[in-house]
Amino acid sequence: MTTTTKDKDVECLVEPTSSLSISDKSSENVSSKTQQQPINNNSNTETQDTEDTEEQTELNDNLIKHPLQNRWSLWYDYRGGKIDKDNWADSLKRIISFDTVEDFWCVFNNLPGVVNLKTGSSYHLFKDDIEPKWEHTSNIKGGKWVAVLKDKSINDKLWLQTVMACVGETFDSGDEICGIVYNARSSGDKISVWTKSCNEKSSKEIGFSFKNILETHQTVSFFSHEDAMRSTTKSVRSLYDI
Amino acid sequence: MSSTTKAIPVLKDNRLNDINFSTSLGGTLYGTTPGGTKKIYDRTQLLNYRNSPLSKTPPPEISNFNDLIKQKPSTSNNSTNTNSTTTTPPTNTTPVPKSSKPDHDEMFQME
Repeated sequence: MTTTTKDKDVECLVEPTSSLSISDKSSENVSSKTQQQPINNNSNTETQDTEDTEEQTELNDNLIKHPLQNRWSLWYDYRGGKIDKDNWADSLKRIISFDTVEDFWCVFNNLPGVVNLKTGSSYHLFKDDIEPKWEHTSNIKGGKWVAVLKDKSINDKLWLQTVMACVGETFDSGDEICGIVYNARSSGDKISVWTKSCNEKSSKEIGFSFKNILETHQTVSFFSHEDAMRSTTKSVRSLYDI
Repeated sequence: MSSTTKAIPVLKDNRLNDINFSTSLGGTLYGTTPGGTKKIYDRTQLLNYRNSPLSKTPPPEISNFNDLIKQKPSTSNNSTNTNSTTTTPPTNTTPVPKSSKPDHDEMFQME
């Protein structure tokens, strides 16, 4: 008994507003029809429109682009022969930028896989406002986690997984990430994650995330850009290893 | 105006399997952090959109880039190719971008 009265109460509460909205709608429809009629003489098209609405919503659902948290730019460089700090930047080219999931796939569904990269070339995927150079303000105090890839048959998979973690923002401390780099090198291909700072806590969070993404137990090492810049030799001591 | 309004997308039955915490009922919205500010997509979600009609068209920049890479003459290219293209690997792990539908489960096992 009590429940029925409750129901009625609810109904009473709901009804006035719902009927109000219905009457609103119908009056709106009438007014819109009268407005449209002079322009749109063919009334058949209008009825067709309402019939197609359901189909259209389904279609539109597929045609919505999903925004990413950040806009990303893909860069490429090829160092033929000698690695020269001075002319390296000349070969660095920004290929394309994207900021939706679908545009990201348009790029990565059609981009040559990393396995096809020439030795000496690199892909760089960086947040749009950051250039993939040490000297850039976002990088200058930062560093990078480096993973040397051992099994060539899964290089494309590992790179794509790292890329997806970046654009999908599933990296821990992702805000501290500047970008990622794939180096095709004769000494072994490498994936690096560039960070804004060398702060131990956030850097290590990124490092552990990186290992999870690569599904590896091998050690990854963190190098500060400052150390790398100062060093005249190729060997730079790592700051952290995990 | 009736021409500019659209019905709210309604959950379809076959979508029930895809529901997780980061998608809305219609499946069209994206995940957010508790603060509601960050757009997060996990691997599965991203891969779900990989075969959308909107995800296929090669942008002109990429077509140009492909041409650029092919144009560059390199003597080492042939030798590296013959080295790397061993016949199909035993496990189906390398993603093939243009093939019909990638096998998500096998490719990316979620922990």
